[in-house]
Amino acid sequence: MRLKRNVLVSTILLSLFGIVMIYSASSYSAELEYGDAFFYVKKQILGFVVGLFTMFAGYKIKPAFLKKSSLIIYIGSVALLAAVFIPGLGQTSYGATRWINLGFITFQSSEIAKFGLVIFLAAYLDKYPPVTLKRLIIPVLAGLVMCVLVILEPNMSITLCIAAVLFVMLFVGGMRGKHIALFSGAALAAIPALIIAEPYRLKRLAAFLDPWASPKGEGYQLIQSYYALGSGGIFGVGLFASRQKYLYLPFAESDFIFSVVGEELGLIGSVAVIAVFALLVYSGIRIAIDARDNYSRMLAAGVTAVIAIQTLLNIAVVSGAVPPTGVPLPYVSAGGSSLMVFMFASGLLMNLADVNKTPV
Amino acid sequence: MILLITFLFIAVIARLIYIEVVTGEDLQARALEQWYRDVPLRAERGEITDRNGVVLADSATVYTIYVRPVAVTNKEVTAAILSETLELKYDAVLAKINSRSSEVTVKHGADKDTVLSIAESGATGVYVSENIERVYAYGNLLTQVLGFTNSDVVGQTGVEAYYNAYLEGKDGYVLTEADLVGREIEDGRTYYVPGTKGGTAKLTIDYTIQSFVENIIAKAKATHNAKGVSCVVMNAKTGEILAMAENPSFDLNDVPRDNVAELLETSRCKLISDVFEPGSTFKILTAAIGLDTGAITTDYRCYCGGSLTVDGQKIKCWRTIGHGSQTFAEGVQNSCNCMFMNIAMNVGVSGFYAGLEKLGVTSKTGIDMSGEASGLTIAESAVKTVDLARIGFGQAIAMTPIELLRAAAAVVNGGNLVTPYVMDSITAADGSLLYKAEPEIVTGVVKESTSRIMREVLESVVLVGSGKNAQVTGIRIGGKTGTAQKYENGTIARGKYVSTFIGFAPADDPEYISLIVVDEPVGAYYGGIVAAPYVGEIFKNLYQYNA
Repeated sequence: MRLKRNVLVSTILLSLFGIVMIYSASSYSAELEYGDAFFYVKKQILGFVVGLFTMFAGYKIKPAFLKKSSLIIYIGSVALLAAVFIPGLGQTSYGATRWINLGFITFQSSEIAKFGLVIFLAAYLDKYPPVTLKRLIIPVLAGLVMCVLVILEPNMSITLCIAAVLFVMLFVGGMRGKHIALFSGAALAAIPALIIAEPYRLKRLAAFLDPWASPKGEGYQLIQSYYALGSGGIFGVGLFASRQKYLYLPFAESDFIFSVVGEELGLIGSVAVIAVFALLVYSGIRIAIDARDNYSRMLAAGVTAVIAIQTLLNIAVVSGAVPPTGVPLPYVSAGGSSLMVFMFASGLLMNLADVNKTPV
Repeated sequence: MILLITFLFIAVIARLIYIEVVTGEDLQARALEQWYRDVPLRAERGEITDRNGVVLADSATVYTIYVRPVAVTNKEVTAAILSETLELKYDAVLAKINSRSSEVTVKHGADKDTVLSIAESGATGVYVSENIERVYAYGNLLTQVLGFTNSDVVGQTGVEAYYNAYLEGKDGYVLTEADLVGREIEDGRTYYVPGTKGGTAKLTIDYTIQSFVENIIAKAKATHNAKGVSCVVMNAKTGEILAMAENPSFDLNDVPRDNVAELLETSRCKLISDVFEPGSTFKILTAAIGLDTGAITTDYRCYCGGSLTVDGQKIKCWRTIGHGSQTFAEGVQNSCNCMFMNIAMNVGVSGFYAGLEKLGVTSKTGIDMSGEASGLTIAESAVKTVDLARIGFGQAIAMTPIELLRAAAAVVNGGNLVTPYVMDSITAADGSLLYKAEPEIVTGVVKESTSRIMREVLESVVLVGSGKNAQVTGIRIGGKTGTAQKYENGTIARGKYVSTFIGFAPADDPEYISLIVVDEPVGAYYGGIVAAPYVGEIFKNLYQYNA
């Protein structure tokens, strides 16, 4: 009961906090660009309202049904990822084709697909625990297909997320130590290859190492994020008082919303937000540990992994701990479809928490 | 797994502590720079006054009035107010207010009262920016010396350029909170960092003297239909310039920038930047060198038969029938070329050149104006006797009028070579003294005895000699006339003369010395007729003014 409540409270808290921060971060730019200060806020509120339903759906859905449909869900996810490349359906922004535009709604396929992979892997690994190298082929292949599709968009950060989720689930599923070493080695070897494949990544890497070398170019975004965080200090400049949101900080309402949190609410606010995420993640881990059956454990672990990895990656990017890469902060960053999917994930965690309590 | 995730959470928190707390202050300081748009507040340029505080150049604040259409809430009312106050067409103003631009300029150069009346009216969305404009109270006066500024109010010529660093002051700033592209933020803070006004420059020029000198040279130019007339009046003991005028000239408030060649010509101070062959006024120097070196004495006599043959070349005196046998004094009074050829030859090349160097005509005077030229002499090693003879009466040598004037001043003031200057002092806005001129004088360039003899003989030139037209009742004036032929492309230009007169007063202890240069007079061209009377008139005015 406590875990379920933790998940519910932290999800609602983060989502509502997100709406407030999106208003603060975007009102100025939205007013200028769309003539409506509430442009992003309205979309986010809509996403939240629908998200309450998706969360409820996640809570009520039968895990057994998910297990049974896992292959269809996986195929559907891959289809969604591929659909991005269909002209007229896919939408290209900032040089990347990541979105599907259905006219009334635009969403990133990968938002859904990463959970699709989790659902598939949970079912598959439950049935075939990854104890031998042979048993690893199918799950790794399933993950790789998605990674390849996502990296073609291109979207390095979500690719990394997916790879990390795959890794976590294989680990939780009981992958052998020697295989872990093998895969870690392969993953490490893949990173330089991925960087060299796209020259812009090399520039970003350089900008990460020394953003001040190109304050108007590659280093700009990181510097602006630093300015926001640095201005916040310990106590912050006060809610709604961000200066960086006046167009200085790009993607202030989405990928870099945490910078605005840091600026307005300071270290105290940033740590508080991280604490809520930590509560959510630890609750998810507990749900996985407490799981009665292996499938539930795998599912809870995978969903929690997605939330944890994306949160950590986002904050690490914003604070300059890892090279800049565009990844939204779960529940908080502007993006209705993302919010709906993550709220579904929260619902699913609560569902699994319930399953654990159900008397056998 | 839990350990790993705990570690990662702690790691990002540690990173945040580092960024937000450890480097926070430094980052915020850098961020502040980008958050404020700084608009410079032009520092007011310092005044330029004459020696008595009469303001010659001043700065006026003018305003540019502009409208931000989106901020106008009552378009018709605002258009009506603006069109009425600024005397503009209502329709044109309304069209500007209805335009899609973010800012539209309505009027340049409005004065403060206009701005205030608009501010008190019901007009909305009207903004104002300040500009400094240079205003010359007497635009046609002292044009070449004062100089002018460019549209950024930076001195380009004259004192405005030479003393620009003192005059320009330090700009202030308005810091306004703005977004990335410079749009002002609503309820943003604004800080004013006031500028410092430039220093007030007090010239050695006397407005009154300058005024009558300008009038007198204008009259001389008109009377003799001359190409140009220039004149300088200097304190003979200190080198302070009291008046320096050039005609033709122009109004500094309306600089004729359309014709650059003409502007370069009329804005140049020819008294310091153009060299000329001085002719007979140079004889003051020859005589002084002759006496000083002991080559001649006052008992010196010389016969003039109308010409002198040197190195086989026959050089004519201006009086072709000759002056006969003359004393030294008579020779000077007659401005006899033969006598001065003989004096120069008696001194000899090295003595004569040493004398010229001491009198400063081979180097710049060091006057505090830009563009000064230096005199030209035939190299000492190349001078032939015939050249020396010619130099004796002011040919085959060129110098600037200001070099000639200060050499003449040294001859009559007891042998003190002064450095001419136009800037007396510069005072900062807070009253502190930024600059104070000290007369720079080299003493003993001619002997006191030489100087005394020269004063007497030059007074006699005005009393009974070629300078009679410079006489003024009640003032003891000494002086020397000069008439030089002009050269064009290396040959003598027929009928083109430069007529000059150097005068000083009082003759026994000269306080003032003046040089007038009349360029290409039409008709009469002898310095005694074309130049001398005006120096007389200047002294007459000067003494009336001082009385």
